Amino acid sequence: MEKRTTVSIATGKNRIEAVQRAFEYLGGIGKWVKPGSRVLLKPNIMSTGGTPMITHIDVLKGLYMLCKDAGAKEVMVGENSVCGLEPRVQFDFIGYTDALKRLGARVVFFDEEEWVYRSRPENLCLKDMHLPKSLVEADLWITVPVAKTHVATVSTLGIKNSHGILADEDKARHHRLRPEFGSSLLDKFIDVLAVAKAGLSVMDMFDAMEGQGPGFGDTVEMKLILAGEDVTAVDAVTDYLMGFGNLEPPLPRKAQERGLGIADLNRIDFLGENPNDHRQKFIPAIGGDIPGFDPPGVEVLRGDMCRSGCGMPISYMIDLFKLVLGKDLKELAPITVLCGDNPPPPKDKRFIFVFGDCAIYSTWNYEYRRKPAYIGPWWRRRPAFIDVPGCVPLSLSWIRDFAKLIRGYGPVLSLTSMVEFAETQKYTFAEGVPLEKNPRRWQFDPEFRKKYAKEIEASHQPEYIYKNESCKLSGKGK
Amino acid sequence: MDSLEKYWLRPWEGIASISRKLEQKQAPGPEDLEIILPFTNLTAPARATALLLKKTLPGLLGPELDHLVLLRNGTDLLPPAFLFRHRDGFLVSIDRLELPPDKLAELFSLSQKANLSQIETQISAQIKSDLKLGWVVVINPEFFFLLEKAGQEFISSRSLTHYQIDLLSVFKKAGELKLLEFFPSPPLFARVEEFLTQITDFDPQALKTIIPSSPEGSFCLGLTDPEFNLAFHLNPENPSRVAVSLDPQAGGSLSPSAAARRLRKVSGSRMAVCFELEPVRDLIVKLVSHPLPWQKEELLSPLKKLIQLIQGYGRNWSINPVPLPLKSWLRGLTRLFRLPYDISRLDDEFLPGTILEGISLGVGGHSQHAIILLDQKEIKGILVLELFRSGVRKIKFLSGKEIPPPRDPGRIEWLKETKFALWDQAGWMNYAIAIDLSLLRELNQALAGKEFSSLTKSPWLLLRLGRIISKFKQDEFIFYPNLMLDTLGKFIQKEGILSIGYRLLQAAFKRDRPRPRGLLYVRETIIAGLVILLGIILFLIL
Repeated sequence: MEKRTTVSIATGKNRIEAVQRAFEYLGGIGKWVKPGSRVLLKPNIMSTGGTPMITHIDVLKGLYMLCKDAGAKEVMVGENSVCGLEPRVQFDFIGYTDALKRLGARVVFFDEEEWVYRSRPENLCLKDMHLPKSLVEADLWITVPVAKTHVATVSTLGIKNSHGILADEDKARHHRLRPEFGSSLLDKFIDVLAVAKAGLSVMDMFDAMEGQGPGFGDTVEMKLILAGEDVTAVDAVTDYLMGFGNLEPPLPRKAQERGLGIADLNRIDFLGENPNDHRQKFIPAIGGDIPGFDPPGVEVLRGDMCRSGCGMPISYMIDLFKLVLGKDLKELAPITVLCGDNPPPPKDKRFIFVFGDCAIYSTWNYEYRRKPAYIGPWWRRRPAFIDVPGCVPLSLSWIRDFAKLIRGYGPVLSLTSMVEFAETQKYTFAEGVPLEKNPRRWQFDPEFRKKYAKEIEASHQPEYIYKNESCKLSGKGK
Repeated sequence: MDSLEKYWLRPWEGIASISRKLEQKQAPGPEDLEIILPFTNLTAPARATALLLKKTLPGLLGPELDHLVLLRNGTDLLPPAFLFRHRDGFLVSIDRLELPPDKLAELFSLSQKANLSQIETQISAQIKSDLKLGWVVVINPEFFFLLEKAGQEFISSRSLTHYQIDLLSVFKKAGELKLLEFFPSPPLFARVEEFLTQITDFDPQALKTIIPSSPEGSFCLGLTDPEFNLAFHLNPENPSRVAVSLDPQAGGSLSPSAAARRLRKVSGSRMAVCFELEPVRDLIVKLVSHPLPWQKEELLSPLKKLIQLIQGYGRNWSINPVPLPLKSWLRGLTRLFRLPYDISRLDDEFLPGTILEGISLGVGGHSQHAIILLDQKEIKGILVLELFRSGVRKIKFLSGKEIPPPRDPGRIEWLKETKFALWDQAGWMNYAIAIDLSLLRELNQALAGKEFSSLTKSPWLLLRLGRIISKFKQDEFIFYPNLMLDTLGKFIQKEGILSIGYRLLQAAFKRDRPRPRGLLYVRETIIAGLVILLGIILFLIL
């Protein structure tokens, strides 16, 4: 007989009530939370905006109360850095740190802790990784995502939220969606699931996001909380509620194919609300790697680009332009963005934004760089292009660099240089590697890696992971 | 039924009387100088009020203005019914329909189904003329008793502000107890009903603790139109005479600036603002055409219209005395130095979208915020705003009695604790702001004072504003979580307030021409250089 699983769908006048009801339908959280246990809740806190960009604190409060009633010794709430933005800064910005502490939860920031090395040779892409110590040592960890569409993965739910537990360096590995080089973003997420699957998934679907998720979409009020022990199943049901077909979104389907959960709705039993009573047709996200969606005034010249590498921040950039930067674009048009390997040469030499290591190094001998135009005050002129290094450049660094490029010309964007006061990490894998080399290729091109082994070895890697003796170095030129 | 006559029937009959004369282009007589505004004890100029209603009601209530009024007390329908007839937008008659109880019951039943055509057929047969109804309104006489009570309160208190609050209470209660029901609801009333449902746990009487009975810094509002003008102001000697005409004689249109000047002189108030009726009416009609709560899409167009209205300073509205930022010599000077400041060039194309999307990006698509109003360290009330997709979805007003007042030192700690207490009571607040009302009053006094319109007195204003702004950094204004404000503060410190101000002006106003794409400030440097050279030459010559 085929294996089946159960997902509860609950509503309520607020999230706390809905969370409690969701677990009532499942027979109580005591099935998973034992007296004296240590529980870790992992929400999605990807920005300093509110819901539905991030998990609402009431879901965490509801879970905290349930865990404590079940006799949990300690309830932790943990999060990692997102694109270089430190979780401590994010939490303080939105007031979650103080609120969770007052509740009695322990707040853990994974990037401030030790990492534990884990390997799984059967994995398809990410065969080893570093996990937060507090998560590994917890008796139960619960993934608490918020339901959103996503430009690269159709939707970002529990499986993708699990990816957020990885150290930054591991996050960047195989993130670029280059299956021709054996690097698949989607398989990578399932690899993480294979190593560190959450014991429970609780989906915040009270307010969900449609359109240009995960950061620039629109709010859809659903008033639902979903819960289940099968992360894949909870994701599949959430996808269905968002209007996608059975087994249509790739992540739950792939997870089922690899035996890591059930995505087929015909094998899922629903408790509580009937999903057909709540199903809505969400507007899907459109990725920025697709030409034709560029806003007027911006010309994105794409070379050979990793779809979920530089493709994703390019799409975020386009969304941000469309939402609030239309005035700057109108005044400065045309702005040229170069991205990917060997992009077409720009026609206009002014206001060129060179995005990512591939674009920087492959356009090294282009006209705009050899004979640059100059902009800025006549007594302090600067070249009319700016390099945004990184593989992939971090979100806040590209906002900062773009503001630098158009300072004095674009008023609205120049005000966003305020982000430099948010303490972001700035990293790139490729410091020290000769500029004419393409640093991203060593990740998945074994011949390139062999040829430039010495330079790659000498390149400056982020140190914090490798200082820990319990960690093993992985893939570093070997 | 005395209250019904006094607060409703007689005032409308007064309006109908003058309206008939205007519709027939007859000259109003001496008895037509003033009318009583319906539902109130307040007087207003008859001709101007009738014309105002004629020009605004079709947009606010729909094209069909004729309506039937039924009186109902509990389950009993009371005769007579009243039929309000209009012609060319003017209210021309109020017909009493003496109908038997079963007929009234039938009409009421048809109203509940909004079956206006059947009602029209029946009434047409009665009055022996054609009829096209816009709506039916069912009123409980209890509503008039409440109005009577509020009116008597006003006579003894002579406080117009508190009278307005009492009227708001009456209408809120009328909505809750269904003392006033519309079938169907015309746009304006539908929006008012929806607005009153948006505000929960709100007792308007609580506003009396916040708003003083005699607000300082008196202020007048005027409306002008080619056919009439009307002004509203507080008159402490005769508070019931709230509306006056600047030009009692028929005809003669005043421009907004002339009207503002005359209004200030006539009323003796500190500041007078006059608007042309048409753009204001268009804006309000745009607003009431969408059901509440408004979200991004519904707010975009009205916000654009509002900015266009502001752009029309001098043409569509004016203010007297003219504040410094709006003085034409200052605006000319800024244009001479190519500073991007000109109110007629406020950016209506990008600002609305940027503001609305900015709200969503900043606080999320669905958020809740608390504004705690303090007065001398006492909590006067807590306003909880629920935002959804950049619009206000709900307003909750809490008394705050359960929350301990702030203690010194460390008011930010108190605000944090208050936010957590509110979390249990009213849900998670994204941001909590505590503001002392004395700060708002000081700001109001500063901006309404003479210094704001006088160049010679403006340094005192700057000092005053500087002092007020410094209070924003202290205990009279606290914000939590405060990391955003701290970051903003660091940013302003690093970039400089002038640089930020200049960039904000660039963002808010349209430019004459696009920024050059080459090097910056070349032309400005040449001009400055020539000016300096000319100055040196003149100095040497002289």
